[in-house]
Amino acid sequence: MADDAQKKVDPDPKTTNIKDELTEVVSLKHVNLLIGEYIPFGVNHIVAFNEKLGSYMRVKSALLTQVIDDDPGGSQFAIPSVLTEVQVKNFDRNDFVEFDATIHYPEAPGIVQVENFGVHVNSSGKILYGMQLESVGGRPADHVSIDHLSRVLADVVLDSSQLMDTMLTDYQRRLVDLTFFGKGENRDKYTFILAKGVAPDVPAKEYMDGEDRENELRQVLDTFQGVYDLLDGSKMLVGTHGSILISKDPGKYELVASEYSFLMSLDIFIQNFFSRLFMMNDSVKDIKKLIDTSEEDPNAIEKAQSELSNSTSDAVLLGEILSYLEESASVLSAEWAEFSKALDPAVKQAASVLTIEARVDAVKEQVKDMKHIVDGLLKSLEGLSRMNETINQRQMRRFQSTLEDNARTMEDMVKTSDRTSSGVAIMEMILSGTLVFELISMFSGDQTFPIAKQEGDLLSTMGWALTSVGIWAMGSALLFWVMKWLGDRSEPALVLRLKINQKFNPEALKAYLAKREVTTEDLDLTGGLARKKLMWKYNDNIFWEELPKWGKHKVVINLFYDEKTGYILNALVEVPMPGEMKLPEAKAAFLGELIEENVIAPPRE
Amino acid sequence: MEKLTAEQSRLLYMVSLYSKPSQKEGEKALWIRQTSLRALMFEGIRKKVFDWDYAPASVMTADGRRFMNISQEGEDDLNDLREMGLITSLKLSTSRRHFITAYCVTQRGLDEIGRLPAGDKDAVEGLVKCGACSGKRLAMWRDEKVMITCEKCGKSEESEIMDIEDVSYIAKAYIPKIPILRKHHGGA
Repeated sequence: MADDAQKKVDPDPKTTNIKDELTEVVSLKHVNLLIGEYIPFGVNHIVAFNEKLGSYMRVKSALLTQVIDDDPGGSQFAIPSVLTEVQVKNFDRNDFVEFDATIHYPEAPGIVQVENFGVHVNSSGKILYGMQLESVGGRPADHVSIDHLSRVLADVVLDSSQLMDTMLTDYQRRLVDLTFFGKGENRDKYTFILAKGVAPDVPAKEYMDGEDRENELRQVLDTFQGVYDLLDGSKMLVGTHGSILISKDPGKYELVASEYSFLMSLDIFIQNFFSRLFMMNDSVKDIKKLIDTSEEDPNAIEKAQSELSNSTSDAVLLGEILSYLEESASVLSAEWAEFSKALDPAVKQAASVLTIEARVDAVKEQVKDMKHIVDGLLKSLEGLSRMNETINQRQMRRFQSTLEDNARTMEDMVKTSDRTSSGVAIMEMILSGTLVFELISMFSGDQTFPIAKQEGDLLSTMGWALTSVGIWAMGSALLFWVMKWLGDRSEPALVLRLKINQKFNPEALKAYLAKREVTTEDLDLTGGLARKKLMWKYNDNIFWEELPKWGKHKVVINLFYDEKTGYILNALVEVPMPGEMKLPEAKAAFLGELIEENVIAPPRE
Repeated sequence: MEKLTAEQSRLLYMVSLYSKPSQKEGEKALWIRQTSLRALMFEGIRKKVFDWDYAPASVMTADGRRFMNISQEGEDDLNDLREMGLITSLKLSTSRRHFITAYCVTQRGLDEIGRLPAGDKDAVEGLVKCGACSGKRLAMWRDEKVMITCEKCGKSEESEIMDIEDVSYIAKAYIPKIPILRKHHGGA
């Protein structure tokens, strides 16, 4: 165990909300923080970035917000208080910009954080955030506890991401999100801490004691990679997530610290990018499996198409990121070759132990290596797309053949139906005849009319027969007319098909449906959607009531909507006996219901 | 072998409650994932079972990187136990192609547990057992949170391992004086 005078420190509730008693072993004096980050940038992005910051304006300061103006033609707008303020210090339209940023993000009660960042952004994607700590945990700059510093770093790493996200284009945010698996806001960064002094001040190797000092310093460095005493008496402690340089003149190490923190951040980006490539490779295998099982699984092709489309668009973006990385690696190499020419011997020693030159070369190699993987991925996706197309064509041919078979069957059915109809008509005639003769016989009883009294009177018999046939013809005509009237009456007289495609309010829809007696519900969960079809009736032959919008009409409503996307897609309204009701009235009645109950928004004027 | 400190003894006992080495051919070994162990270690600090400090660190979880309260002293004791051969660690790849670590007590570790002070075992059992039913509490990553859930009664609570504590500070903007290699020179 180290023989430091360990101090148990109770956190001051006025300046921190730390719940634990801290053991303080190492503290730093006059700390400057340099945090590196790589974000894909090109010349066009830096031009747009300068534009957004107002670098060309006479007054080079601006307030920034993440709020999107969805009514730019309007006159006024109200937004929550602005949280980011920037002041441009130096810029080149096509190459770089340096600015100060003040952020006012909400903090826990009792915590006061005055966060002023210096930010350097250049067209090869190098981002550096700089901060000079004037007071931490209520203590002056000459006593910065490592326990406190670790919490400041966590805060600064997250807040700097939020700050930068306010200023990036949507395209850049998408690239960052893609690389960091959709969690761009939690992306990692590398920190270089420059300090003017340290307590206890001991040779560098004594900080790597495997015990208390090392444990404490690991809170900001993570795993130790090396500790070095430099020629001018400075000390450098290098870790996997951060480094500390303690020097009486830390300013002369700024170049090395900046290059190293950027290089390490670039390495973090490349590691994530590399993992993303392998994840994409897994997706390619999954799509292949789906295509292979397309004969057995009815949902496989739909799933494969959706995943193929997502993966192809991601692979194209990964290819674009790679070209930004390529450009950045070549600029980095040229920069270091230029800047490392005239370094102070101690700074040269620092650059040498940090192996900056070797790391720059390694970045170039890594990018070159990844190019093969991205090319391979794009080719695999192209092959899968062709396979998918072949299967689609095969399914289409099969579908077409089924369609032809169906058409043939239907033709046969129509012919059979025609024959049946003719038979039914003949049967109807015979039946109506039988009925008419029965009626005649019923009305005449067994008595014959005078004209048929004389037996063997042919004329009378013929006259009676013709009269009966005439009555039969009239009876049949009446029967056909009654049946046609009944048939016409049973047809849905008013059918309204509405394409709505509008966002709905889920709570209001729930309340609206609770008041209806839904009798049928279909749910389709294919393709990652949740499409529902509901059917209900008004005045369903059992309860007849006066409805404000529908009167006493019987109405059948089918509503189609997607629970997942929150869209009402379409509706089918049937009014079997519409009476005076016309289509526009039915449309107004149904949409009026939805709007009145806040299920959908009223149409814009 | 060096004598174990109270923290190391408790940590070894805790790992042994959540892992089991394979003792015969064909038997599967049980491992505890790093994030779960870290959550239990953090709970132990809060409940004074472990006398360690903790600080926020960006660590890999099942859902990518997150800041969590990690005890470097605890990690150091874990490494000491590995060096002593009392626990062993395993690296495995996740579906996101990240690597995570898992731990398992060794046979030698199980032998050592027999010699641990009863007070240390009691302290750990007080930490890992459910107050309601005495079932074992498991720490799991669920819906971007670490939940500590009793395996018997299902009682669940969110761990505070991801609640990063704040400290007040005042910082001035600082831009390092670094040379700039101009590629295009668009003018300021």
